[in-house]
Amino acid sequence: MTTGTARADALTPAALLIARLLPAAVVLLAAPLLLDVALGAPGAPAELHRRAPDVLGKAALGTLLASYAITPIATLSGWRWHIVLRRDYGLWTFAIAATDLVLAAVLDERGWQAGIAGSAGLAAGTMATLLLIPLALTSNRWSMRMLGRDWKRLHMLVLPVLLLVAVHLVFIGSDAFAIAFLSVVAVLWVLRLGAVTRWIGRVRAGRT
Amino acid sequence: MISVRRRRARRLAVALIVICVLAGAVPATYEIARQGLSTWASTEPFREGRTSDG
Repeated sequence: MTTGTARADALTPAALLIARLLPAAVVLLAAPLLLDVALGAPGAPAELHRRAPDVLGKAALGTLLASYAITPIATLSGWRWHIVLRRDYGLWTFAIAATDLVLAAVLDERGWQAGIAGSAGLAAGTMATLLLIPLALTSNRWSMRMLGRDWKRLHMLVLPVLLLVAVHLVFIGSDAFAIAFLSVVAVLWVLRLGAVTRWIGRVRAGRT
Repeated sequence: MISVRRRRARRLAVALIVICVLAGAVPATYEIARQGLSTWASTEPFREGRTSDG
């Protein structure tokens, strides 16, 4: 038993490092496209404009859900080692979504306004990304100290962000994706409720 | 009793949220005025696959 625990302890830093760097895979996926644009390859900006929203949008969605899932996972499993990933994935979400937004603004031939708000779907995605700015800027100990109890209140902004992402998905025609996304969010939200976490805590304590 | 520093931090956070909301709302309003609400809110361009996202 001790050997197993020791092995798990030894694996934790490695697992954490892999989990922290996982979203960087998106940067590697987008790298050839960005390189083509930087080198002035013909048609590269159009290709980047066509493919980037798909790659970056899905990646931002994944990291956002992963960040929101960290606390429920801690509640269910009792793990604490992965808590740092909540901030990491939140910042990755912002970085990826902001890149997506900048590319949409810069590469759209109809102009930057149309690129970021040319339809309800795009506008909802843009608003969600913009609301991530206060969250990303205050994801540090200094802000937590300065804002005190208000920090938690401020970070409730993640709920409108999640809703806007769902609206974004509906308006870009990904109905099934939106339903799946909202279902996962609903489960995670329930697992974050005080009464539910207390009940899970009691059940877990009863088992040990 | 809330400290002056905390009150300032709170005001700054609220101002930041307002700026971000306006930064999203202003171009959206411009686009609605330019295209009309029904065209702007249409999902057709995405369903027809002219634009990909998400």
